[in-house]
Amino acid sequence: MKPRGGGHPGDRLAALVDGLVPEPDRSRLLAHLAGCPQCRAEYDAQRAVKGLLADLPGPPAPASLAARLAALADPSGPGLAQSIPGPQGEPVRAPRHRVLVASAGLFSVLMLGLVTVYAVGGPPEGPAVTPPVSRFVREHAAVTSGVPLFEPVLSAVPTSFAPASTASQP
Amino acid sequence: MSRRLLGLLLGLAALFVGLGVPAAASASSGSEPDAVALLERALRAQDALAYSGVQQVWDRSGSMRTVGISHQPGSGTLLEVEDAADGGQAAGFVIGAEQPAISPAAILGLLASSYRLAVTGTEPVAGRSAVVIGATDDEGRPMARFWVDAATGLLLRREVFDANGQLQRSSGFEHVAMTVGRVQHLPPLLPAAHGPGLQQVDLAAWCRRGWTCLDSIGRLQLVDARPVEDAGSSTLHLTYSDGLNVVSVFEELGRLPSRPLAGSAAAVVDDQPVRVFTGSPERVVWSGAGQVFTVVTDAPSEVVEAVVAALPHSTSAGTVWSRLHRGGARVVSWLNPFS
Repeated sequence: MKPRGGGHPGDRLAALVDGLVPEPDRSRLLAHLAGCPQCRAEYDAQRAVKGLLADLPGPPAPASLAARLAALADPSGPGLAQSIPGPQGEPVRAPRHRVLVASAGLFSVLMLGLVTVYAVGGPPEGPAVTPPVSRFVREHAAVTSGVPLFEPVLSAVPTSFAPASTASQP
Repeated sequence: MSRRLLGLLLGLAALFVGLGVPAAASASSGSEPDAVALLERALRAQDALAYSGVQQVWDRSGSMRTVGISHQPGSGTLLEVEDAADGGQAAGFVIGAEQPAISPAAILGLLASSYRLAVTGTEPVAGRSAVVIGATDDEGRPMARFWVDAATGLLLRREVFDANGQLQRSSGFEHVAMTVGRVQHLPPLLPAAHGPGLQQVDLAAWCRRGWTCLDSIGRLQLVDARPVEDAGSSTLHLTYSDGLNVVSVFEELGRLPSRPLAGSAAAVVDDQPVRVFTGSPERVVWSGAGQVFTVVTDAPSEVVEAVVAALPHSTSAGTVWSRLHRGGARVVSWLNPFS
């Protein structure tokens, strides 16, 4: 075992990126990032991903849709019914636009799912727990005593030694 | 006793263990039947012999303690520990249990299947003739030695080594007699866990609620699982053993506080940041996957490292990929009606 260098923030990096770390912990984490290239690189990577997801553009509106909407707004125009292609053919570019719309929609759904999964996968929740280590040592002794192949379990014997004269004698 | 009969007996004994530890001795890894039979005799001697004596107990932390032991079958064992530093004494009494938490026969089964046991000779211990049994791993490295009294079968001495051949723990009688004096004052009772722990189906329920339940870690097999009563929170105590070493893993739901635990030191075990309490037994604490893990053991460092590496940690949770992976697992668990 080697001494640990500086107490890396671990999970709290993600919380810091999400802006969930209150003061003064936030200042302490930022000070740690200033002196820890490893954590700084991880912090930058997480920020980059978050920024990338946040800056994604929405799906582009098809040009034909914009034209038809403009025609609807113009009283002298052909009207909505005339702008929709009939079964005989015109306009021929409509299927390609549908593919584009579908692709953009699918891409948006995937991105939304990715953002959701990323947000859900944040630092594990739960209360702060201070394990009762001394109690666990006694439990360990309780379970392991009574097996002749093991050493005598001394960890549960009281560690505060009494003077020899007051100890019980067999 | 024939090897087949011994395997049958050990298998039946293992059935009494709640988790149903496999009757490993019946599939021993090349262990000599004579060596297994001698250790099985040592288990019977503990149930049949009254004895008292003085042992020297040493562990890798450098602690050497002189321990007076008085054992009365069916009653219990008195331990009187002398402190080498100031000459003081401390004492405790372990009440004998008809059904200990861990079956001694199951432990012998694990020992015989995890290591190759062989009789290596005879040596005197505490003025008595003893048969020496060696335990070697798959690569032939000596991992332990046991000295069994030729006359009574009592286990007189034992040594445990790490993979580099360094002595990790030893205990042995300086002198022993097959008599027990009368105990005038009963010392404090030492904690003892009796009876089987959680059954497999109950343990599975804990696993579904978020606790990490590994059936084995390398050579170590899960031999006992039980909740820690009155611990203030729901704590699962899992015990693993390979017959030589015992490792306790305590699991609590939550995370470690940002403040370091009093008395612990930051350390890195198998590239994972942990908090360590040195001494005997060694205690290693960390949190990961929404749980706080505390490992308590006297096992060699390579065993501790294997246990720490096998359980979840928080360090990987900070990466983008692991965060996506964890989020996906959570979403799937929410959508799974059976989880």
